[in-house]
Amino acid sequence: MHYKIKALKGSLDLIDRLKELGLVIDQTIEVLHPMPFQGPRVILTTQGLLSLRFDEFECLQLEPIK
Amino acid sequence: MKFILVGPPNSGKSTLYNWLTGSSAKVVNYPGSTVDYMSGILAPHWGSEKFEIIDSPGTYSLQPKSEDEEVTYKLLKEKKADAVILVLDPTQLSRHLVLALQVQRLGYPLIIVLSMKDLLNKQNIRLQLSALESQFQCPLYLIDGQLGGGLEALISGLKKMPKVDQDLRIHEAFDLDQDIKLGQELYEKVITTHSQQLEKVWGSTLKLDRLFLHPILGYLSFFSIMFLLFTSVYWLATPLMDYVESLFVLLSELLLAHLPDSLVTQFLSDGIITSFASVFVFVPQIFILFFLLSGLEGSGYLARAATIIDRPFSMIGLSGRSFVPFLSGYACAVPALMATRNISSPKEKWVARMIIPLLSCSARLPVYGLLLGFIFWKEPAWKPGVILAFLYLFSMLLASLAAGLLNRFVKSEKPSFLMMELPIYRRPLLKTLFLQAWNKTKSFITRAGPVIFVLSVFLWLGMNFPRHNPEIHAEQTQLEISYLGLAGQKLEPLFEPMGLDWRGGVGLIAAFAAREVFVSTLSVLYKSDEESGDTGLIEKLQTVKWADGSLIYTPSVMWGLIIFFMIALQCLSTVGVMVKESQSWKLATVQLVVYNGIAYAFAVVIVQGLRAFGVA
Repeated sequence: MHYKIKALKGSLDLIDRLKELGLVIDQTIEVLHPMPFQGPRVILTTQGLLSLRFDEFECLQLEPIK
Repeated sequence: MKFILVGPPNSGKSTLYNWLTGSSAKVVNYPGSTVDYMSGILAPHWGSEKFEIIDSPGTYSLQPKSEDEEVTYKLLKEKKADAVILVLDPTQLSRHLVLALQVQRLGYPLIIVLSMKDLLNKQNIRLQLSALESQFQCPLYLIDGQLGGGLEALISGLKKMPKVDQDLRIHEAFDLDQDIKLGQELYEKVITTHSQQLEKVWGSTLKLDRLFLHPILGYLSFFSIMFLLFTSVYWLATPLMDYVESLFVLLSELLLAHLPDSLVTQFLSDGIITSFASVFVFVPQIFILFFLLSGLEGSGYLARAATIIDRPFSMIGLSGRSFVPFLSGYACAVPALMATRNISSPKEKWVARMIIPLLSCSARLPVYGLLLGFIFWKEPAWKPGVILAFLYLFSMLLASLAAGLLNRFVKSEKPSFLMMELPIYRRPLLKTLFLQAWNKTKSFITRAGPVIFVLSVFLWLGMNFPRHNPEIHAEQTQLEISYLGLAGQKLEPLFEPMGLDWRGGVGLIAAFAAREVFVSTLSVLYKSDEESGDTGLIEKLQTVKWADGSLIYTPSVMWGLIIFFMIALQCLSTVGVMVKESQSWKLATVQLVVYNGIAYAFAVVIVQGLRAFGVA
């Protein structure tokens, strides 16, 4: 499933770390491997693979891309 | 001249560091923190220059968010180096350029190294290097971390670096959004390859991840790999550990045979050599564990393993990064404590270090064997087997409970993140694995070794002084009249609530050398026939009585001892490593006192409780 990042929410440190990893507004991502029981999400960006905890992933406000 | 390697995690810094320094590396603890960095001298085959190379912890920017990132920032801020070697992964360049731009603004003389040249060539990725050179105005080198290609050019570049009297602009505030924007603009100038080719770089990695990150198969492969890893450590290390031990026994026997029979000879043979043995016996286990772990890390799998296990671990306040030390604790707490260095969150590192001694290490096995053998004497073997399995499970629950409790009480200034890059799968280079494992092993020998050695010598002195005189002590053994034996006799009232006489108490004290020493000490004190092993000792223990004729060793006492050994921190090697890893005698002492105090209290409650319910 492909998404576009619409906004980032959460603590300042968390948002900064997301940005450092390339997760900025308008970035396109693909959610590849959601681990069960609200485990980490593995996402593919144009720059590579990232692993995010569920609550870290929830800081990304996403819009599905059709 | 001093160079500091700076770069994001997994950018190839440590591989480059190993190429540059060979095996000269030493581990340095940043003052006031528990974070290590490596420091070494340029290997002699690269030239006669005495360049010092510092490998700093990986960071994504110069706005630190964890203790290890803080160390990199401080190393730069405190001008610990004359120049910076900035190591960037060209396949992750858009992200890594943010750090590059921030480092550039500090004003250090700079060299940029793009690692993973082999991947660029293999995947036919083209970079406009002139765009990078014109932005950073510094020499730029492409290296192949796997085979060492491009290193000679880099070394000659290092030799040409002028030593500049720096006017650093360290206090400059960074605007992350601006740096990201600049980084992206620069990236678009640098990268000339079509995005489809970039996807090709990730093609085989994405295929492998369909297995390794699958919601079900991912867990199955994770447990299979970890099972293979730790059984390999056990099977490969055990014969080597036996070999090391027998070498020291041989050395001890040679000394006894060739030197005059004197106290000095005994001290050298039993005190010094045995103490050396207590350090070096761990070397095979540490080397093999870190060799295999470095292999998993270098291949890119360890980051996936952290992702897989993060959720279950987060329930007890740990992250996936704590899994390896946690599991290693079942083999031995010594390498497990060393493996906590890979945990970036200080709070999590602290919690992991606190709970590792609770995991049932292999040294507890002979003790459990004796105690369960006594309780289930002449009963079917499956009964003690099942209880043993429960003991291991219980130790996991105990450690999880302790982690959960500690997490509630310990506050952290920095948040704990999992979010991380998952690197491309690669085949690790044997030479790099060997160097990484050797550096860890060397660090154990030089840092924890002296502490273990000194504590072992003191224990030997306590067990062997004052000296046994056959004319005066005809009915007593050396251990009985030793300071340790005398202390046991004085402390008998303390051991009595656990149901133990002074001999059992001395056994517990002697077990601080190593838990399994408990069994051999009881054999000596109760004059059991050593050749008959556990069976002889159990039969002897079944007959030992108090002055009033009642039996000392009963099932309730043995259950109390089991609980005691499950919780107590009875291992001087663990204490020694804890002191060095935490850089705190205070913490190690608190851990020692608290765990042994709790173990004692629980053992007393179990023994007295079982007796109250009529269990012998």
